[in-house]
Amino acid sequence: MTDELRQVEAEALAAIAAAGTTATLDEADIAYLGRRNGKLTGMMRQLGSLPNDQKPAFGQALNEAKARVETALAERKAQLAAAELAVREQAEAIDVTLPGRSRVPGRLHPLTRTFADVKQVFLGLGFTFVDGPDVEDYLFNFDWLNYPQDHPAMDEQDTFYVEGGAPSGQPGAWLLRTHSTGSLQGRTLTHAPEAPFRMATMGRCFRRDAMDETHSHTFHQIDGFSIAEGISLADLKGVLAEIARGLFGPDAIVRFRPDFFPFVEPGVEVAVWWNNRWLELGGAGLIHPNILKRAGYDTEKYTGWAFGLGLDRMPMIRYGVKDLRLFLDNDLRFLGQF
Amino acid sequence: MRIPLSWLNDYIPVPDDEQESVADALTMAGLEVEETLQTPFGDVWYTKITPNRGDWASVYGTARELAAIYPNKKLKPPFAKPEGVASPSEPGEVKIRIDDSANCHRFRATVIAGVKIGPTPQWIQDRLTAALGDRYRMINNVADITNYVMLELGQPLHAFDLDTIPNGEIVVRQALPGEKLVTLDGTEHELPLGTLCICDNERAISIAGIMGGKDTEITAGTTNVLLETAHFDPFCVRRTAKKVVRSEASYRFERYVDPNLVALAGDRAAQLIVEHCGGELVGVSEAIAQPIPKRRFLARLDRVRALLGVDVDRDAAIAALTRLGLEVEQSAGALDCLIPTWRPDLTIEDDIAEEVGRIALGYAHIPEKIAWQIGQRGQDSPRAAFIMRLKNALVAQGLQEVITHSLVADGGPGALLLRNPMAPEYSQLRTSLVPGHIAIAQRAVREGIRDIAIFEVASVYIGSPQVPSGCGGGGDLTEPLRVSGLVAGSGNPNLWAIKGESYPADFYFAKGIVESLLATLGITAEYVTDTSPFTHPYRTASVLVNGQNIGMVGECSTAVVEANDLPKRTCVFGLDGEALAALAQETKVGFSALPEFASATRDVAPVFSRDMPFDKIEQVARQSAGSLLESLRLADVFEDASKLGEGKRSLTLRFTLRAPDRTLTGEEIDATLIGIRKALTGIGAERL
Repeated sequence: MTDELRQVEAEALAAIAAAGTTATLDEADIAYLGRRNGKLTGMMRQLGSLPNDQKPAFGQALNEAKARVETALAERKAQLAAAELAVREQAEAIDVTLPGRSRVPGRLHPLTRTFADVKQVFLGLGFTFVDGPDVEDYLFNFDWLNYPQDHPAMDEQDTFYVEGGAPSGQPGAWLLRTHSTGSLQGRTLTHAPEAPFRMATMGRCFRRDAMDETHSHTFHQIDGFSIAEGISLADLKGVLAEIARGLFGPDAIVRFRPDFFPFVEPGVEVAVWWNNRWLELGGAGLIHPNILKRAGYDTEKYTGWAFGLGLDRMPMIRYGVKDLRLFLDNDLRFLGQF
Repeated sequence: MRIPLSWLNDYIPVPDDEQESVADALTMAGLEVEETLQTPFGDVWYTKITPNRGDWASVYGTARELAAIYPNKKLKPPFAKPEGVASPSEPGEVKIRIDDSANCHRFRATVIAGVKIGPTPQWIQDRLTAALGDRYRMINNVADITNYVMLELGQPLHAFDLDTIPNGEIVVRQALPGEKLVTLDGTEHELPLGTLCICDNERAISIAGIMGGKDTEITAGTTNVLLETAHFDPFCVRRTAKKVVRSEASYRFERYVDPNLVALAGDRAAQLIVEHCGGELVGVSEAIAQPIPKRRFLARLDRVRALLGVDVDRDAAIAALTRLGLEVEQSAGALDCLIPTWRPDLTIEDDIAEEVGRIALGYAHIPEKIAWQIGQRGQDSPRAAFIMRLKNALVAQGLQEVITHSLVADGGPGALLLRNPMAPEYSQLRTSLVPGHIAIAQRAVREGIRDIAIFEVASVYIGSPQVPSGCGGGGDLTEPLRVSGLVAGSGNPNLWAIKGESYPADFYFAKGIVESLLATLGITAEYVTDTSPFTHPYRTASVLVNGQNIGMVGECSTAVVEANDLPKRTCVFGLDGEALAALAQETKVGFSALPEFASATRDVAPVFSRDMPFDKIEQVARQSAGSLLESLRLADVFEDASKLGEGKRSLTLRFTLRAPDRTLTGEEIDATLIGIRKALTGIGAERL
């Protein structure tokens, strides 16, 4: 009996090992462990006909053999299932090198992105933003800013005049603003807000300037101004230094140089030390007392400062763009790079 | 202005090894040395003169500024007045009458007889070339000397051939109506009203402060010279120069010339002419219409210190002002300042603060203070914030932002025009963003880009020039905000097609962008078939909100597509940004509780005639679904004449039904669907 058991077990294990599919494995299962005709099942039945003294030993051997066959069967079953899954999955193979199906991202224009960053710096310093029109009245662009009519200072502000309105060069004339200073200071001061305050505006300006790599008839400016008690040129320098550090990093150094604008006294040119050179940012100064008086502020009590910074150089520096004209050219091959 | 260093050294020492540091110092004091030019005549500084400092427009004026900056550098006088030069009190041969004393303050005529006209001495030629550049053509010794003295001292001069002036009579008056003059450059000018002229007893012989006349110029045969040095009103010269012609002389007069130079420059030129052209000084006449102004005012040191934000030392301030030519006396905490005649820009004590700041202190030494700290963040303008909201919403739709010029060649009907355009391409203000976007698309296509999705949020310019504007600003001008865009080619080029299915950037794609943008703003709109100038007459919708037209979306018309080589089915949209701002809801706050019970989703696929608009079908479907309807969306549109018949389309409507308080039973769902089918059949649905 024992020999027979060994032989049946060996046959069963061989059949299990040989089974190449789940179907043949199932056949082996039935052939050896099947309830009706399974060979090992049959030997279990024969156990009763053995002499009593042989029953325990043979019974134990039989159970052990059955357990080994069952284990082998389960293992083989798992192996085969895994192999068959692998075959199925292999049939599902894809070409992972085909491009992904992504959405094309939208993009902000590089000017918008840069200007938004600049604005954050100003908001952090407590500037409140207002807006003004691009087509401005001479009154605000020049008159409110202490420009005497027909002064040589106008030569630096070569102006586009718009049909309609008063004759060119006098209040009531329509013009394309040559700076955002008038929209900010001129318009704000007509209603003389209560000091202290810091205000700013950002926008498009125009001058009759021939187009080249660094000049355009259309450009962008940010203007800030403040009126408070006891603010000075040193205060202006402090604020501009904060702005420069916000825009150019913590090592930025601000330089003041005397300059002339009719709406400030003293007037300065602002430059920042960046990449081993002085980069001109714009003009600034203490608001001319004529302007403060016209707005109704007591100039003995209040002083003010103002500045206007060119914005177009900033995206040029940031993105290494050498030709300013590209920004308003809208070549999609250019815009797609940002 | 070009300042030859060798010439400057006549008046103040600037050794070669100091040249760079002196240029820096001058720049930091406000007179920017933009660059140093190497010329055959030695180094030449190119200085940038601010409009308030006409006194810098000369070699001597530059030297004078350096002397103020450098206490140790000594300024030499302009020239040593030679023996034998007559004083103005001596009666001359010229009779001068100033009729327009408001614009001509003084006029001096120096007569030199017996000159010999010839070539100009080489050293004067070299300096003129160095200062004026190669474009300057030498004229003759007398004329070149007048230019030399102008560059040296800043006073423009003019030399007349005295023998061309009858009786030596000079009248300074305004031009008569229609009066004409041929100027030195050979141009005949009809003199505008208000032109100040130097005249003989009959006619104009020179435009005051601008350019002399041809008939009275110095020629090879001239022997007697009338040398004019005069002081003119800056605004008068500027007004005329802008209309007639600008010159080196008008440049200086516009910026105010020191009236004391009238005598000084006259004497200097006379000295040079006698020395280099022969002849002798025979007389000087001078007519004085206005005295030389003397300006004196108090500048409080406290005010100066407060403006600069620095406790500047009193003695240092006084020393600096004195070096600048001011006569300063102390007067109880204030400085009593007598302003030199070459500094018309110094009129108030704040101007003194600037002088003290730049000369006594140096702007490099102004500290960085923040006197008044603002404790809170500033606020963006509501309009700018709204614009960013629009831009971000459109970027989220996968669109590229563009920024176009406000100035265009053709701004559209009613566009505002420039009075003084620079070029026809930039002569009008846009009234629409759409043409700019079509131009961008056209160019992109030319560069081989077929898939385009762009937008812009910007102002257009609307005005009616007929209506006179008030002085209060703006008048009847408006700059309404527009939201525009253009899509063409594939709606999503990165999504390669599967089974041939792709999403074109067609009308529905463009409309989807508009719908999503409006959804972001919490605005619900209707879309009604309409027409617009650029678009397809049967593929255009206007966008209505509560009956108000706020914009359009449509396919470009065949004409526009063909004229601009655009991809077929290119679509544009345009929305009124002002209306959007008025209608927009704040970003949603708060939330709805999540549903507790399951929903059921069922499709209904009616077949309709293509004439039946979807919005009608949707309206009926929603109504009939009743209160259980959570959402309805269009899942599919199918048209196949062979299966559905000619002119028919099948629409798959996907209903999601849910009750807030229970899970719906099969019976409830079926009853709802029956109601829906019945209602749809009622408006012509087939096959339900």
